[in-house]
Amino acid sequence: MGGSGLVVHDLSVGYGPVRALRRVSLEVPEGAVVTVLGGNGAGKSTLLRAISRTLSFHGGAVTEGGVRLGDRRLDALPPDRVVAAGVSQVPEGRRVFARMTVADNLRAGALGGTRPGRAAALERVHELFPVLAERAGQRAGLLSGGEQQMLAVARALMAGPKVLLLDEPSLGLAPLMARRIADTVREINAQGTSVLLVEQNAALALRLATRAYVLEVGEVTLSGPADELAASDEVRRRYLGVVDEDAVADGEQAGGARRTLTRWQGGDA
Amino acid sequence: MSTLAEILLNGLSLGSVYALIALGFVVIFRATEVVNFAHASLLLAGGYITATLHDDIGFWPALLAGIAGAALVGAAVEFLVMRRYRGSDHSVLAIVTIGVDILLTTELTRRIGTDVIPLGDPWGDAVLRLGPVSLAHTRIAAFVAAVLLIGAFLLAFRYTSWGVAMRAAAESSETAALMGVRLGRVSLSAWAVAGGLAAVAALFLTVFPTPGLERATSLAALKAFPAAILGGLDSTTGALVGGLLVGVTESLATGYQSDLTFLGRGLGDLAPYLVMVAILLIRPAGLFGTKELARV
Repeated sequence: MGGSGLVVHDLSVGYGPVRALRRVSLEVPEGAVVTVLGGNGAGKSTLLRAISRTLSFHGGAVTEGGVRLGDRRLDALPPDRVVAAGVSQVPEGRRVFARMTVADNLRAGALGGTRPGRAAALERVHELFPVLAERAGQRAGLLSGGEQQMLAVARALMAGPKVLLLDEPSLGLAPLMARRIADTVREINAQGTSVLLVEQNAALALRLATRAYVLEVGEVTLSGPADELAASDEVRRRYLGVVDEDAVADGEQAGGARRTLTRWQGGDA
Repeated sequence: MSTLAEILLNGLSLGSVYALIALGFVVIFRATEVVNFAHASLLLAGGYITATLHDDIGFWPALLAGIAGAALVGAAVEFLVMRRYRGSDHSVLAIVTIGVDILLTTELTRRIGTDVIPLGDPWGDAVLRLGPVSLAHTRIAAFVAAVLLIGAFLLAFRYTSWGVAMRAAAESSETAALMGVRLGRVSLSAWAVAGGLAAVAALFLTVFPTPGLERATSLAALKAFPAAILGGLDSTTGALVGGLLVGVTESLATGYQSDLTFLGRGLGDLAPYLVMVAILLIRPAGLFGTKELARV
């Protein structure tokens, strides 16, 4: 597809003798939101680390396959060059620089970008998250969880990425805050940044994405347009059982006792 | 006769020099999480370069050469040695720095031999008298230079992109890498800056009242270790406070030596370590060491 899409082809990753990813292929076309679903240990974070080239921090390495952005291979670059090439990551658990101020966190995010773009990037980020402008002088560690997530997203945007990688942005957030983050992702995408969203909250992710991949024990087991996957029994049973509002609504229609039953069945599967 | 005021002022001056050394130590630790045991040899290298060059090219160019030389040696150690071990355990790296220290110090002490080489500083043994207090010009110069350098360093640390990159890498090297920070550069610059600061410290450790650069100079530099540790290894503020504390303590212990003879001789060399142990007993992370900053 697109000239500057992100393409992962036949990617295998190992941590020493442990194989974490097995011939994973996926594509984030230019301007799209693509989601990767999967439970704990499915290899979602490993996939993002492989793209951002930070596997070495965890003793991992790519054993075959590769990653391209458009025509450019990313799989031999150091992490800073991946950022410079236009792929930024919002790591799992936010990982803001807690001892630095909000403003300095944003500056740190801009270190990988081009100098002239910084002022514009800061303006864009403050427009998306006005609260960050208000809290510019505050230490990031003292922000609330939701604000820290906003800061983490904003920090990654400071480099002016073409593709934004998001690792579990809704993790540990109140539902209302998770929805706000989702709105933001939509807005960022509307401004022209492609998004690769890794999530456990499948309902949220499938609403945002146009295309979805399901990762299980290091392999892509299902993929397709997000709405089709959302409708598929397999995905509903495995990933939408607990969190999907539609499923809850279905259950409510069927009556109180049935609702509990269907939900628990979904959870057990 | 030395008065209490003199002792305190001398202590502050000496302490500011220790602070310079400790600051370099802390910078390397923050950037790379490595405890740099080779720091004293960087200092010796800077001092040696200044000492050998000042006759030919004059004091100030020689000092600049010493600073640049020590910065280069620091950068070379990072580039040629430390970089190859990146990703190894930090305690392994610390042990590697001990090896580097032994190599560098052995070569430098071989060159210095039994000589005591003056660094050709312009202050000589001039003394400033203010009423009852007399203070060597060298001590004043040391204090002023240390304050200026430390101030410049802290400003750079706080406001420049270099400083932001350093602090980001110190908090989490992986996240910093994700932001596009070049960790290799951060580490290289940390070693170079630490080397440069050590070279300046070398000058002020060897001027009046000390006769000059000698083999034992690197031992004097070791007092910056307790300074850095009692301040908290990862805190620049801690390095400054620790340096001053060690300087004043040493100065007091030496100044009142005659009243403390029942404890034996050489108390001035021992006192910094006593202070360090006492502080670590109460605050194991050092005075300003990292406390977790987190919202509950």
